[in-house]
Amino acid sequence: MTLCQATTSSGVNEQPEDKAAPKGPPSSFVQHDEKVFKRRTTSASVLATRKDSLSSRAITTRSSVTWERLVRLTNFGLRPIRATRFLWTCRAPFTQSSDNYDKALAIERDAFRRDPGYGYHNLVASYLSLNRLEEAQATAEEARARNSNSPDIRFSLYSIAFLRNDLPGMARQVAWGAGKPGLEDVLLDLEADAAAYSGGWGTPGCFHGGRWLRLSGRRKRKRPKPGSGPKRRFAFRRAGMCST
Amino acid sequence: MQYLAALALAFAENASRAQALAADLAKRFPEDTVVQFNYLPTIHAQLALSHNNSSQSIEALQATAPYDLGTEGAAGGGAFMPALHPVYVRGEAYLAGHQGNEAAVEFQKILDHRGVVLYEPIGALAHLQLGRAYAMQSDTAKARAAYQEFLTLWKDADPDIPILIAAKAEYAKLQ
Repeated sequence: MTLCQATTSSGVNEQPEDKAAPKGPPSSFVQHDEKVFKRRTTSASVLATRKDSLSSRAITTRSSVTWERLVRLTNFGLRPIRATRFLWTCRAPFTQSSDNYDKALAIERDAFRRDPGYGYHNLVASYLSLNRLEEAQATAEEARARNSNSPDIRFSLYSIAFLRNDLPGMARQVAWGAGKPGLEDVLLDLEADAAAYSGGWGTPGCFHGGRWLRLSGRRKRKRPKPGSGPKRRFAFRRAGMCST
Repeated sequence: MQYLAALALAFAENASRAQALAADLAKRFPEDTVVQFNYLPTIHAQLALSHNNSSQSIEALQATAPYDLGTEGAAGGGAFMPALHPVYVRGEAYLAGHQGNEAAVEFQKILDHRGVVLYEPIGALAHLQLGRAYAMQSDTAKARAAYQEFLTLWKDADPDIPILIAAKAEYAKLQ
């Protein structure tokens, strides 16, 4: 029996909800408060102790990851619903091969059915892992319609747009994040990654009128060389990188 | 981040600093599956490759095989999630060992998983390496197509990147 089978067959709904975890919308991975993380990890560890067979399987099976690691990998920014947490903690070992992407998607669909509030982003990620861009886009758009301020969904929409070579779509997400502390820098980072993908490695200051320089506090000390910015801005525009 | 720094140093053939960072990772995360079965083997494999030891490189990557296509978290989010690095390095090792067919299989894995690789430069570089693998097998037509794909992707790339200069020279020889 696999780890997930052990989990889903153990009656996850029988467990009470985690009172210690914070409420509210999910925050982004990078923003997550360390104290919250520790509290959730500890809480999940207690659960693992109760679920002896499950935790021992998770910790001792080499093809899996440790329980602590499972929680660390999958528990950021999630709403405190125990059932879904147990399902989500199965994700990491299940994404270790192509076949398992399908299994992960099945789990996440189930998690999403139980708790749509936090299932969107990870469901989108599963569709992306399978190169199912249409479904990823539809799921992300539905999530945006319900909660347009979710950073993770915006990041996902940027990734989908990147994969579809949809420059206006990418620009929309960047524009949405402009001026938002903790989001603008992440989106600029994604822009830099997208430019690096097509060989634009040396001109970070070209993005959006030098906002990268402002964010990094370097505007007065160093400016991009004349002509280097506009030329390479959105270098991937003409790259046709979504041909595969 | 430390893993990426170590891997970059290994690619840059700065073995001593890469090894120091790798040793620190190994010491601090002895039970971390991703570190032990993905990060460290990949760094060690690249270091072996920089010493022209392709067989040792491939051997080092045997530990990563069950996790080759794994992701460390949810792809598509704001956080950077390294993906398929062991596959890329293994492909390079096969190329160094003049095993073009095996190398092509590895690089094709990267191209088949665009939704996992996302923005990683290896997603674009895999086209070039696939071209090299086909060229090694004397399959000029496929090699040319793969080189063209890469050069199209990097049409507006910074012109002084060494691998781009090398790719253009290799492509010219294929004509």
